[in-house]
Amino acid sequence: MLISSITRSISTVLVISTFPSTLFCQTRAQKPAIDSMSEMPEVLVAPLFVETAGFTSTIAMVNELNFAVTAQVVLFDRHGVQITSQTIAFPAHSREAVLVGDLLRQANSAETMGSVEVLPDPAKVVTMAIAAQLSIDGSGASLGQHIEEEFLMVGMPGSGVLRSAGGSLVSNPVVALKNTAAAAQTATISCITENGAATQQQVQLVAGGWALLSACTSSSDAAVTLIGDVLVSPDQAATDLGAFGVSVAGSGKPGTLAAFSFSWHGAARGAMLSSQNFVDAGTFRSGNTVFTGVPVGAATYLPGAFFTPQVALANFGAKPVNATVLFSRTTGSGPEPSNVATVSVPAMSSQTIALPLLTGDPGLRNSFIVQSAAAPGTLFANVAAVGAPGFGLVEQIGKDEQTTANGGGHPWDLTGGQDAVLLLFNHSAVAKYFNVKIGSGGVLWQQPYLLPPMETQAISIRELIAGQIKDHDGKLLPQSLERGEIGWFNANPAEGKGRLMQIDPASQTVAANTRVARNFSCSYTYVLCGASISPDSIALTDGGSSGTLEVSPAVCLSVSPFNCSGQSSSYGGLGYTYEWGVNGPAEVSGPYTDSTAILQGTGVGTGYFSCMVTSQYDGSYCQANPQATLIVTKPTAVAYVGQNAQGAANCPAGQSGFSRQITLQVVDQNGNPSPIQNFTMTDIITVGSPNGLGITGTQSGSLSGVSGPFLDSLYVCSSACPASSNSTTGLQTWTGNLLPLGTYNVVYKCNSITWSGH
Amino acid sequence: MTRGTGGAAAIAMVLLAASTPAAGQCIAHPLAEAPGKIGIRTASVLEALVDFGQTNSVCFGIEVMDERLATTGADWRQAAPLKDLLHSALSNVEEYRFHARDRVVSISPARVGAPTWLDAKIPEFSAARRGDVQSINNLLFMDLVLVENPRHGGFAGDYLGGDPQDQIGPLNERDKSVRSLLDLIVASSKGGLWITVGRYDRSRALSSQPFWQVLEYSQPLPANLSRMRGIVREIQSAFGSQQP
Repeated sequence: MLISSITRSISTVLVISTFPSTLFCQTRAQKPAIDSMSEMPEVLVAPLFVETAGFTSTIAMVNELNFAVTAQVVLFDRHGVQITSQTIAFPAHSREAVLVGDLLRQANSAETMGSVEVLPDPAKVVTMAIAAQLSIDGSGASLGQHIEEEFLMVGMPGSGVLRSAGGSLVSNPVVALKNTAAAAQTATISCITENGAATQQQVQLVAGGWALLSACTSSSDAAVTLIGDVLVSPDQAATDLGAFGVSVAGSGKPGTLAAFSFSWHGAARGAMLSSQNFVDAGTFRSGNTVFTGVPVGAATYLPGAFFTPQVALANFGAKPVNATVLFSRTTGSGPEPSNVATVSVPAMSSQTIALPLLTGDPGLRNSFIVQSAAAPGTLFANVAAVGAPGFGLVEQIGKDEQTTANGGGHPWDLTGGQDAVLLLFNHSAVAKYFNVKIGSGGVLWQQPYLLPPMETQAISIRELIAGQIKDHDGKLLPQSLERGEIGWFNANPAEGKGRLMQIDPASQTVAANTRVARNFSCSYTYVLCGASISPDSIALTDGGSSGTLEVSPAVCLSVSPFNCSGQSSSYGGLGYTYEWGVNGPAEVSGPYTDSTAILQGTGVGTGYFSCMVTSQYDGSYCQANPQATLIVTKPTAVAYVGQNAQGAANCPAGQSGFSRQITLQVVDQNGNPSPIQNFTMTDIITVGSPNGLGITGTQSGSLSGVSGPFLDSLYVCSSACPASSNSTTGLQTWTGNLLPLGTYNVVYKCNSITWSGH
Repeated sequence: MTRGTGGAAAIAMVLLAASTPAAGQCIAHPLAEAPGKIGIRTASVLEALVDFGQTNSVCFGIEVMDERLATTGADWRQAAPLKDLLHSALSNVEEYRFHARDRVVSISPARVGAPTWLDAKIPEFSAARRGDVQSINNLLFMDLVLVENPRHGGFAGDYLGGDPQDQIGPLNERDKSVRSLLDLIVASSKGGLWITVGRYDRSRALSSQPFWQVLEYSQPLPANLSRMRGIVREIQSAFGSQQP
C-alpha cells in the first residue's frame, strides 16, 4: 500500500528533492491553475474614509509574511486626486495602524471623505500578504456607532458584479465607489428591498474616479455631497424596508471597481450603523454562507447585553431559492447542530428570516450556515446580532463555504483593557486542525487546535497572555505584549472559517450603550510550499528505536490554492496527510500516517527516511517530500571511557578494600559510540582465578535508561586486606537490552582495581 | 531549616548534629506538603511517588508486598496535601498504609506479618569516610550479608549509576534495623527514596543482589522515572500471578 501510493504520486507529480539531508522541497500541483492569478503587485483599496461630523477613520493593517516589508498608504480626495501618502514599515507578522486624521493634518488637507489605497512594496510583496481594514468610529452623540470596511484587492479575478446584503434598512444605503481602472467606466447599482420597489441607478466614473451616492432610490440626484448628513441617525419613525441587497456592476474589467456601503439598521434601542462589504459574485464556489462565532443570548466576552441574531437574505437570481438556516451551538458536551429555519426566497427579492428563540453558548461558540442549492453568488446572506443594552450591532462578513481561502490574518489590540477573541468554526464533516499563529515582530506563538465537525472555538488572546499558555513548542507570549497580528489556517481550503472579534473595554460606558465588537475577517490563501523533518539525521541501534521524528510544513502565502509556491509565512502546522517511508535498515514503528513517527532499526547500515506531506483541494494537491539520513549500528561491546574516582572502600567491620569508579560506554561494530536509547545495562561478575583475596560473594548491577556513557563503580572488600598483595580476577559479562556485549577481566587488589587492562 | 534563636539552642543543635547525620534535602513534615500546582498522571503509583517526591523533596521508604503499587495508575492533577493524595491512591490499593518516619514517608503493608530482612538489625554500620549514596547503600548490603553469614570472607563486584556528588557520612550506627538505616541514607542524601524490589521475608536466603534500590533525586527526573519503570517491571516479574 505504501509503495503503490508513492508510485502513484510520483507518476503525476514533479517531486524535487535532494539527498541526504533535504530541508525543503516542493512539488507542483497536479491540476493546472484554472482560476489562479499570476503573481502581481498587491494593491488594496477602501472606497470610503470619513473624517467629519464626529466620525474618524483608522486603518489597521497586518503583515502575514515572516519577514519585514513596507507599504504605502495613499489618501485620495472625493475627486480621486491624491492627497498624501505615507510609508509604513511592517516587521514580520505584525500589525500597524494609521489614523486618517493624522495624514490629513500632515497634508494640511480639509477633506472630509474620500478613498484609501495601500500599496505594499512591489519588490518584496508579490502575494496578498498585507491585509487592511478601515474602521470609521463615531464620537460624541455618535459614540458607539462604527463602520467596518475591509480593503479590497484591486485586480481580483471575478465576474465584475459585486453584491452585498443587509437587514432592517431604515435609510438609503450609502454606496462609495472607486474606479481603479485607467479608463472611465459606468457603474450600475441595483437594489432589492423586502418592503420596497427594486431600483437601478447608474453613475459614470472617470479613470481613478470616486463617487458616493444613496442607493435604493429612484431619485435622479442621489449623489451624497455632505457625508455628515447621512451619518445622522434616522428618527424612530423611519420606515423599515426590511432585508435588502445591493448589487454593483462595472462596465470595466473585473477587479477594477471597488465598492462599499453603509446603512442604518433599525432597532428598538435606536438605529445603528451597519456595514455592507461587497463580494464579487463570481468568486463564490457554493450556495452556502458561513457565519462564525455569533453572539446568541448572553455572551461572556460581551458582558451586560443579550443578543438576538437576525438573518436577512437577498436572492439576486431569476429563480426562487429554498434556503435552510443551520445553527450549531457548541457546549461542554460538544457541538449541537440543528436546522432552525427553512424558507423560500422569490427571485429578485429580499427576505428577513424569522428565527425561533435560540439558546446560545455564552462563550460565543455559536455559528450559522445559510444553505441553499442556488447558483453560487446568487443568494447573499447577512447574519447580525443585535445586543441590548450595552453593545450595538455585532456584524460579520459571511464567507462562502467553499472559498479557496483557507485562513485569515487579523490585527489585535489589548491596550486600554480591550480584548481580542479569535473565533474558529469547523464546518466540515470531519475533525480539522486550525493552526493559529500570534505574532508581533520577533514573537511567533504557534498552536494547532483540533476542532470536531461543526464545533466553534473561541480563543481569547488576553487569556493566552495572562495565563502564560505555552504553544506547541513551549513558547510563551510576553506578558508585556499588547498589540500584534493573529493568523490561522487549515491545511486545505473549505475546511473551516475564522474571524477575530475585537472588543472595546467594558469600562467604556455600559450605561451609554456604546461598547463595540468589531469584526476582522480578512482571508488568506496558505499553501504547502515545503517541509522539513526534525531531526534531519538520526542514528539508532539495530532493534532500537529512534526518538520521535516530526515533519513540519513550510507554509507560504499564495495567490491561489492551485499554486504551490508563494512567499514564506511560517513553518509548522497540522492537518495535512502524511506518509512516512524508509529506505534503509529500519522500519516505521507504529503509525506511518501521522505528523510524527518512530523508527526501529532492523539491521545495520545507512539509508534515508522521508515523509510525504500533502495538501489537497479540488483534485489538485501540493506535496513536499523531505528526506533525512539514517544510520543504524549494532551495539557490540563495552569500552572504557575514563576514570572518575578511586580510593579506599567503605567496608564492613573487619574488612577493608578498594573502590574505583569508571565511565564506560557501549560501542558499535566499528568501535564508535553506539546511539543507544534507554538501554538497560546489566552485568554479572563471577569470581575467576586467581582468587587470592578469598572473595566468596559478588554483587553486580543493572541500570535502566542508559542513553550514553554510564558510571560503573567497582569495589572489593576482604578480610585479607589491607595486608595481602594477592589479587582476585573477576569476569564481568555485559548485556545491553539483553544483547550480549562481551566479557571483561576485572583484577581486584587491596589497593587497586583494573578493568580490562585499564 | 530550623533557625537557632539563642546560645543554648545553638549548643543543642551542635550536639544533635554530632549524634545524627545532618539532614539532607528531604523536607520536614512531608505529609503536609501541598504544592500549589500538580500535574501527575502515571501508569503506576510508584512512578507518581518518584515524580512527586523529586519535585517536592519528599523522601519515601516503600515496602512492596505485591504488584498492586506497580499496576495501579495514579492521576494526581488536583492540588492537595500529600496525605490526601496518598489516602486516595492507597484506597485503590488495599492493605497498604502510610505514615511519616521523621523526614521519610513510609509506605508499607498494613498487616504486620512474618519478620523480613528489613527488620534485621545491623550490629555495626560504620563508614569511616564520606561516600556516595550508592557506595554507602552497598556497604549496608554487605553488612546485611554478614548478618546472615558472619564467616563471609570478602566481597567484590560493582554497582551502576548513582551521583558521585551526593556524598553522605561518615556514619557510625549500632543495632539499627535495615529499614531505619535505609531511612538514614536517603534522609542524609540530597533527597531520594528506597524501595524493595523482590521478596524479602526473613525465611528466604539473601540473593547476591540487594532486594532494594535507592533512587537519588539529584539525578534527572526522566532518568529516575525510567529507573522506576524498570523497577515496576521487576516487581511485576517477582509478584506476578505466575509467581509463587
